[in-house]
Amino acid sequence: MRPWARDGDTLVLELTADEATMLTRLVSQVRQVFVAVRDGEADHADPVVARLFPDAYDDDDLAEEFRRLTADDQAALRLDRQRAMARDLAAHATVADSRVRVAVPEASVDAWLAGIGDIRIVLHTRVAQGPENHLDLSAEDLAQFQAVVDWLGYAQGSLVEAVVGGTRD
Amino acid sequence: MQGIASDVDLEVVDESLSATDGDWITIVWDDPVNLMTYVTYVFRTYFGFDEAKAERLMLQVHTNGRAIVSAGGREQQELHVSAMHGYGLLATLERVEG
Repeated sequence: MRPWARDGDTLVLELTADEATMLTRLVSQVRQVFVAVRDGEADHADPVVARLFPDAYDDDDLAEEFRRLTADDQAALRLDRQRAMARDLAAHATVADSRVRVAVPEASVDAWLAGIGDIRIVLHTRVAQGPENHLDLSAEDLAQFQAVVDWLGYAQGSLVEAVVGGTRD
Repeated sequence: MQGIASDVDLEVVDESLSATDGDWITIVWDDPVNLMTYVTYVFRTYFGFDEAKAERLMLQVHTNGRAIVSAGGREQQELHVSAMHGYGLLATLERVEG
């Protein structure tokens, strides 16, 4: 990955083909979480769902009521962000050395920043659960998750810098 | 939060964040995963705070574990809390008791 760079009204991310494939797969997986919440099929006791939809109130009943009233819209909004990422990733151009150039319009930067954040939260929460609390994930899997959390942190931080610090041409 | 803190005076009096009895406040809580620069970006973008204020509140969250980012009516604070959740931040609202 090369850091994000501004090109006029778009922000550009250059990835290896493998990185682009991985990111596309992550986006697709996190979409499934929000689809499940939107469709009322999510397990709110799952630490990932609980972290993505945290308590708004100290009081359990008020927190539950708040979640009941807001979860659908919340999930739809965050699903749209993952969709925007998927759309921009799918529209990539292949440049030299089979590297991939992803162009993100300025209007989608918010979706990318929050969307990357959601993917980081999902992976981080799985890592924080520890290997003994997963039936399907090994310690090696979780170490890889942590590496991806850090990699996405670099991607997110570099996008913040490009959009906040970047001057228009 | 993940990142390296710089020195900023956290104890600035801010009229817009002062709450009186019966008001509701929005509190953002520290978490181990969100980047400091991202949290500052969210405060700037969503609340429209200038860079200095956004950074000061982000550092309050980072240093004190929480910061009051808004005060006022309940419905408005619920919208803010929902928006913060949408950005992946931990946020709650509570009533200010006299």
